[in-house]
Amino acid sequence: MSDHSPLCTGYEDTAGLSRRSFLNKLGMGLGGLALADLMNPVSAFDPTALLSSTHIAPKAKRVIFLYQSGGPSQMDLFDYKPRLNTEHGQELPDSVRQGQRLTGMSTNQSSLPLAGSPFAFRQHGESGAWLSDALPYPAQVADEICFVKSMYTEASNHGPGGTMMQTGSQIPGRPSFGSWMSYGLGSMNDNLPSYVVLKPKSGGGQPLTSRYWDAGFLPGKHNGVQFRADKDAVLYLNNPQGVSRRARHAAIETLQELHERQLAESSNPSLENHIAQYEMAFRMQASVPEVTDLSGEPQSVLDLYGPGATEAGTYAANCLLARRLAEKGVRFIQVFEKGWDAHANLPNNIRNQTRKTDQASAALIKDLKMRGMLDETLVIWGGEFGRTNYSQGKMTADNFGRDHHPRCFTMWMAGGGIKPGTSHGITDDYCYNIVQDGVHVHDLHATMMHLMGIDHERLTFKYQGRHFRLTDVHGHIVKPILA
Amino acid sequence: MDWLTFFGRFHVLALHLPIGILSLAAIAEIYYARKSEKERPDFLRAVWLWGTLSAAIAAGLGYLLSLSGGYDETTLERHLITGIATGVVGFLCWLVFGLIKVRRAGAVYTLAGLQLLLMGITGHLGGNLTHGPEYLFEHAPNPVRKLAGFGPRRIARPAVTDLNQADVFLDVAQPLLELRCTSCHNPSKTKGGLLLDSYENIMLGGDTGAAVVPGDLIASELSIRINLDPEHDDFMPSGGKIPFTEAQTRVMDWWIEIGAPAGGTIASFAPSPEVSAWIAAALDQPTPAVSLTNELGLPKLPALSRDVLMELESLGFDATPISETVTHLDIDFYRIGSETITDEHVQALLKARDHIAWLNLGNSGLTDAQLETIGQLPNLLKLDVSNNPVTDTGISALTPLPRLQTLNLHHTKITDNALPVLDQLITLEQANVWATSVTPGSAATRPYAEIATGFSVPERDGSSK
Repeated sequence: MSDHSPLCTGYEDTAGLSRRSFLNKLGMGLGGLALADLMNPVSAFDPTALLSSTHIAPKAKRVIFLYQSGGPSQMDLFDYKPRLNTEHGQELPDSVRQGQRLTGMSTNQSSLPLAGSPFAFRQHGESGAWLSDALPYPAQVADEICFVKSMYTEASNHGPGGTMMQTGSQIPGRPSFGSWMSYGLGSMNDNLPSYVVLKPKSGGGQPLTSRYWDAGFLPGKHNGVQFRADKDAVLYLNNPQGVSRRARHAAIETLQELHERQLAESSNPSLENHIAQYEMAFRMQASVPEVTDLSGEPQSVLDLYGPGATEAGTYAANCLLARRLAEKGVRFIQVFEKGWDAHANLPNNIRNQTRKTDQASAALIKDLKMRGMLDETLVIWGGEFGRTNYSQGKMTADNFGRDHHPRCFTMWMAGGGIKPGTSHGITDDYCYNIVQDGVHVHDLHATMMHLMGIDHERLTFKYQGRHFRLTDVHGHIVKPILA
Repeated sequence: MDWLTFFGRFHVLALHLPIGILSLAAIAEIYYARKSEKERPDFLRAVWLWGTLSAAIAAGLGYLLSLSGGYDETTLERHLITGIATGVVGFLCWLVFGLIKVRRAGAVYTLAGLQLLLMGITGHLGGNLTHGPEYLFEHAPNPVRKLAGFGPRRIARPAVTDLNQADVFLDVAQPLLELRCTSCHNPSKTKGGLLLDSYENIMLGGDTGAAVVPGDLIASELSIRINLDPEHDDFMPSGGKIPFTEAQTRVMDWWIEIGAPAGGTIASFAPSPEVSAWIAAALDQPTPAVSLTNELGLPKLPALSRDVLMELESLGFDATPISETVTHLDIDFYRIGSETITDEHVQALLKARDHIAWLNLGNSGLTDAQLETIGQLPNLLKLDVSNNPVTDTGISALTPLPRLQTLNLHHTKITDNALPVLDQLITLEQANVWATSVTPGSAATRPYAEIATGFSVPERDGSSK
């Protein structure tokens, strides 16, 4: 690895030569090109991307991240722990907890009774993956999936946990992973944003705030763009009443002329962002209605995703939309789902949540596979942390709750360079601690970037005097799960 | 342990003190041997003591240095013994000349001479330890080399800059043998009756038989020995000397497998990318620049000119080199609304003809006629023409593609008649023919053809309580 190109930096370091002006220099012939080349050796061909190519040949061209906000219970879905059933109601042994901190919600409980899963587990597919009966649909695609059962994080509450998962830091303000991808790789389709966010229209649960898909200190054009479950999928995109598309176009052109006159005087990257956003918005006036219009989808596909597929803003509709966006070349698509935070009424919560989500999650994998896209699409499913093996609050014969548990949880991945039909990492019999092959959130990020062809140590942005990266000073690629 | 190594390295500094001081003492003693008692300065006694003390210090530091390992054991042992002997003889000289005041010329010549001799041997062995046995005579005239037991000097090979042009024996096999084998298998040692210092001698073999049987690893004693478990008695190099790295072992085996040639460029033996990587690793060359093919198995190409890339971008293609080391392109085309790909677009692709490896023209409105152009891209590995009105006729234009591995044809107008055409693409591994008129029965006869069958939507079973 001695032939590293210089570390990537933000526009701070391009010595007053912004990318757009670099492109303009092309008009000055080869002399100008060579000069520009010398001045900025990492200049890209793609005006939207920092890297002129990925560091290594990518396995995945795009990511669909199915974010399950609230913290799905690993031992009721994926991580089969019969011992919790045989010791159901007994105290969590101190030898297992080892004095580890609990959240403020259960730390004052006089008793921490172990709670076995009310769901039966079975093995599925040729890979023999254990799945709870709450997940009949993912069971059908178990052989496409790699279950990572040894995820862990430090955060034990939703805000920090979600921010960690999304940005690699518990403290708000860092760029989200989708923004990093957009910054590094740019867009494959200039008519759509490279990072699109799809949220559930309704449902309670933890708030999903925009810091989860914010570009932080990266240029603003790398912000995740939220598509809303509404006739205006993207707010303020459509022309104001009485303004025709032609007039709008003319206005943007004039505005751009003014901007470029300003640029000629002083290179101002934020002005470039503005121009890029205006142009993008104009193109999105046409591309967004097209991509969000599900009317062309055959009934068989709608059936595949399940009952909610035609109802905008449901998880099923969002998964279907994610596939459509993937087909259109969107680099990073994030589907958020809420409501996994089962402090009480866990059995019913799991039933409701899986009924809302498991068919569409599995459908997405099948759909991508049928279209020959799964090979190039990395699908990730998971939340910010797991849930405790003991009951939060009172345990009755058929009801209990589980508190947050960051020390182990399960995520799954499929497609784009992931070894299918495997399981990685082992937790102890109580589903409390990791026994083998722990995967930190930083490791997940490093692996995601690796699959997208990026060396996570080399995609950096200089801000406040420091070269920042998604994985901070951490992150190891999880090689055993790579195909 | 770090501290020990830290101090140990001062050996190379400290060792010069006994050399200087003891030489001075010995020469002075010899000088005054025939002179009168009065002329010999008393000061010499102190010099012998200082020399002996500095020898002891150098020996102690030398021992610490030896703990860091990596030295030839036999030489190290001899260096240790002669080094200690140098100190002991120095001490004896101090006793005999300084305290007992023996003045007989014979005794002086013997003891002081022994002192100089031991110091010379110790120094030479030490030099061999650091610089290797070849160092001293490397640039000696050939008669001197012969006297010292070395073969005639070879004309130095220029440093390898392009592995493809490097010589398989002179630049690859021979340097590796010299690195790890010829310290014992040379004319001055000839361990096991085997000489590995020249091509002819390698082919002669040793006491156990043929060291190298061209093309036959199993019969080649050299390959057998370097591939043994390092703990095995017969493992080479023996005696705990530094063995070949994995890459070096594989490269030696590769040289034997290709017939143990006495020369010829690496390129002329067409190594696989894997072997190229081993050769690069074995010779400490940077890997990317060496192999003839890149990590995708495509012939290496210089990067496409920026002008062409910019032209493709301005036409609406997303065209990116696949990685830092793969200059071939990944090209996508996305359109809005009723736009379709035009002949101008497709013709522009020919400007990047050799560079296009991954091409996604799904849902672009591509026609049969345009597929004929696509059939001219020799390095195409992955092609997506799904969701386009292309037919069997168009597909038949793809048969010249020599490397196509993945072909996405779902939602096209192809029929069973496309399958015999696809059969001609012998490199094809995967063809998605879902949602076409290809019948499942016909697809089932083709190993590459995939028809997705994911549309059964079972009811949620009631087993979850």
